[in-house]
Amino acid sequence: MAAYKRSLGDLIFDVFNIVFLGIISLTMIFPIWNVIMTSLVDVGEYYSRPFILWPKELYTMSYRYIFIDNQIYNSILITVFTTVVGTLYALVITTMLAYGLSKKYLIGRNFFLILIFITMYFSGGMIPYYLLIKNLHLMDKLAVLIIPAGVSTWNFLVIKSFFSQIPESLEESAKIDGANDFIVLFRIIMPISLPLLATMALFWGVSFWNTWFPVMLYIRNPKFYTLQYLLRRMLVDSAGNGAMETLSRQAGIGVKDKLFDEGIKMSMVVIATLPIVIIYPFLQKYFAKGVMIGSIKG
Amino acid sequence: MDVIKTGMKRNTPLISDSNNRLFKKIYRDRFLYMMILPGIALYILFSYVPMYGIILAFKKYMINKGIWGSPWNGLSNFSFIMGKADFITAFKNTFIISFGKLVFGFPAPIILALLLNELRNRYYKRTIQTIIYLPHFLSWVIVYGLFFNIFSSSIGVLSKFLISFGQEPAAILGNPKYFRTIIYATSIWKGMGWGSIIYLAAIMGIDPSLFESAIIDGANRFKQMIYITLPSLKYAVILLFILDLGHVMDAGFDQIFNFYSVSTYSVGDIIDTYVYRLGIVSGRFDLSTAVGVFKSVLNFILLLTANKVVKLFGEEGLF
Repeated sequence: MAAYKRSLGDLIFDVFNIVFLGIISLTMIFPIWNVIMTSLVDVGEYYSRPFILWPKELYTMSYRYIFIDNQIYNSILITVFTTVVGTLYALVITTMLAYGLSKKYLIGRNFFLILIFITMYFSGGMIPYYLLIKNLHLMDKLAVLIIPAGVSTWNFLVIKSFFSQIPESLEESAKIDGANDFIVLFRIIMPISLPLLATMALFWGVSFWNTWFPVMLYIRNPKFYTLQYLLRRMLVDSAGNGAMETLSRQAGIGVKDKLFDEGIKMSMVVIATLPIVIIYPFLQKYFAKGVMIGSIKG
Repeated sequence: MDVIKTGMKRNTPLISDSNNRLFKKIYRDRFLYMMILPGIALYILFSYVPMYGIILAFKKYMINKGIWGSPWNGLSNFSFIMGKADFITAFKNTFIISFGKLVFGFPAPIILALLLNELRNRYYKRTIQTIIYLPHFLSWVIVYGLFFNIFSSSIGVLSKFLISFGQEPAAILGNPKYFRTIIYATSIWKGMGWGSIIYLAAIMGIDPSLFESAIIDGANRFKQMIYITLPSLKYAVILLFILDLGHVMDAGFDQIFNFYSVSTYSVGDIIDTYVYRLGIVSGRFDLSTAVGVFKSVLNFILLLTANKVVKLFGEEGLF
């Protein structure tokens, strides 16, 4: 970049920029840190300090209370299961779809692409979809959280566009050696698309992990509650403050244990968010590149 | 690979040449068709089959008769809901909130990308980016939890602060006065980091020589931003703007559903949340489907209009 005289205006702007962006980042961190802190203090310390930077006394009862009941173990299991299985399922189906439709010579390709494109803007709506799930007898079944989520149009478009950029010579030489399309896809194309596919897997993973609304609509059996739905019930549906404290009395936990509703709720928030927050920094460099690839090509 | 039949063995071939070529091509690509089959099947089953349910909007739903057997009642479902105050409120709020999000929320990622681009220190830049992308991955349930802990009038951090200064705790979350502001603010908070990625990618794609010649011509950073950076974002901005307009009737169900409550229906209820309560909770399938159809049609008209307007300005539209 050509050098030019940095004026005073430039310097002021730079300082302002650094500070401004720093403040924005702090607004992202603050709520998360705040919640973590709330989950780690007891009721006394929470109310005595308006803002908690670090607990004076580490308090783990809020977490332990959640793990008394079996429900949390259930939900963790269900959420991990649907996330892992769902991601693999969606990844395979969408990648195959994207690969097939990336071939310009495929007869009917445009028809299928338009078919998919239309669904981005048209749908039957919430109610017809609900009725469909009922008619398919998927109500209250775990499969309802996985099967319909097999394709994501946005992810499909990104993968397809990436595949169309791969030189055909790769595929052609493999076919000369006798490979069919499946072998080409799984043995050749996928390995070289790994960064992009890993990014997509991350997106799907997050999407499955955050599932709560289908549970609310279609599932009655608490055995199938996902973590997010469990969290939502605690946050929104709980019958007002004090409800959990009453429940805890019944569980044999005394007042001296200094539990409070908010602490319990925020512990649940932390549990529901922890895997994402932990994995996230490691994968950030991958997906930033992956999205850029996708957005430039797409 | 295609063998052209010369018709030596017969006077007239049983299958015409072009059909034969067609089947041969399909057979050649049989594995590709197998690959796309599950995906296409899912689209048909879960996106197209439900469209059949739209006919409910024109029927009077009777549970014992099911969708098929229920009698038609033309457009009376539509005329009925048009008169309901709840619907009008939801309709109004949908527009207001959607456009509010566009006005306040659309520029935010762009500005962020521009500012990030001006950072000189790579490590600081990467740190900031790591932090600002994170909220995008949190569910709205979690985001609600985060802001509940801050703004709740009974136990929120804000209230604790106010009390410690001798003030009354503020009622914010259930307060109609602040509801839309909270929606705009949290929407920006959650989305602007992630949204800036696309613009940053576009900025990085700008030819550096453009900047060099501008500097030689004496342009300062501000002028460079206006005359080089911003125009290069034009295509991305227009594309994303139209995409957003194509969903203007959506207004963010997930977010609203988690943040709203009975006390904020008047300002926060949108069409989708109204459909949810009318259809799923109250079981009025016919009416709620009519609302949904109305929303889809309107959405489509808006999308076409936006596309046309953009084309009138001489730019490339979505289609």
